[in-house]
Amino acid sequence: MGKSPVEAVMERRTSLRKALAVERAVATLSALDQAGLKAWLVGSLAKDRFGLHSDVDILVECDANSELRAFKIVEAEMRGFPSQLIPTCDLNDEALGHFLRDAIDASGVRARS
Amino acid sequence: MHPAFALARKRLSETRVEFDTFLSADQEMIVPMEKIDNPRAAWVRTVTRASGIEGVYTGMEGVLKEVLQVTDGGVFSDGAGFHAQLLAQANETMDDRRNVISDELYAQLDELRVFRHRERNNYRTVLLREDLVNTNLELLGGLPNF
Repeated sequence: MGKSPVEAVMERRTSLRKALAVERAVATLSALDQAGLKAWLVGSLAKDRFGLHSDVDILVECDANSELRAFKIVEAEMRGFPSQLIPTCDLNDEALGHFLRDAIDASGVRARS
Repeated sequence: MHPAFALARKRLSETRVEFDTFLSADQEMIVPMEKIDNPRAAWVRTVTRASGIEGVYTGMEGVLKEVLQVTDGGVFSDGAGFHAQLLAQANETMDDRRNVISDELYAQLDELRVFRHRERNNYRTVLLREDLVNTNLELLGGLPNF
């Protein structure tokens, strides 16, 4: 049984949205890197399960002093695309390990796309 | 003050009441809880303070929005960056008006804006960060003349 017209439209929209998400995520990770902040893509985009309503989740290694700077970079580079900054200083060791399991860096995102 | 700012004055008055209530409640109810050393007490302190900060900041934003409605005809944003644009626009000096908020106040409010965004949108792991909440509470407490 083939796709319905609605399914086809949703698939196309998801694909376009994902492409934009990847573009913005790469720009964001690069900008964070230039600012001296280690960062990774995590969540649905990293796991290749990005959907029509997914956010871009970015894990950033930062402390209380640098997290505001990290937020501003993510906000500027994502340009309104729904995203979450996850500072490592917010996480306990278990949570951090959980995120890092599927994390990919900028080169990994580029290679996949 | 010009009657065009009547709604802005009302919002300011409401926000001041909320601000005073929050700070008084914090002193009376939450500060005594700092003596209780367990995770549940820390959770109550952090959640209550985070919610209070969010509420007061949202009130402040509402005041600025009403002021900009009068001075500029509104906040010029397509939606995604509304909250950031509101502060930036209020900080801007135009040909026909001076800045509504100073550079210093802009920086302080922007930090509160970032905190509110995290508190509303992030994983609840931010609640582990009592230090972050307390930092923003101090920042808010240092804005008596808003």
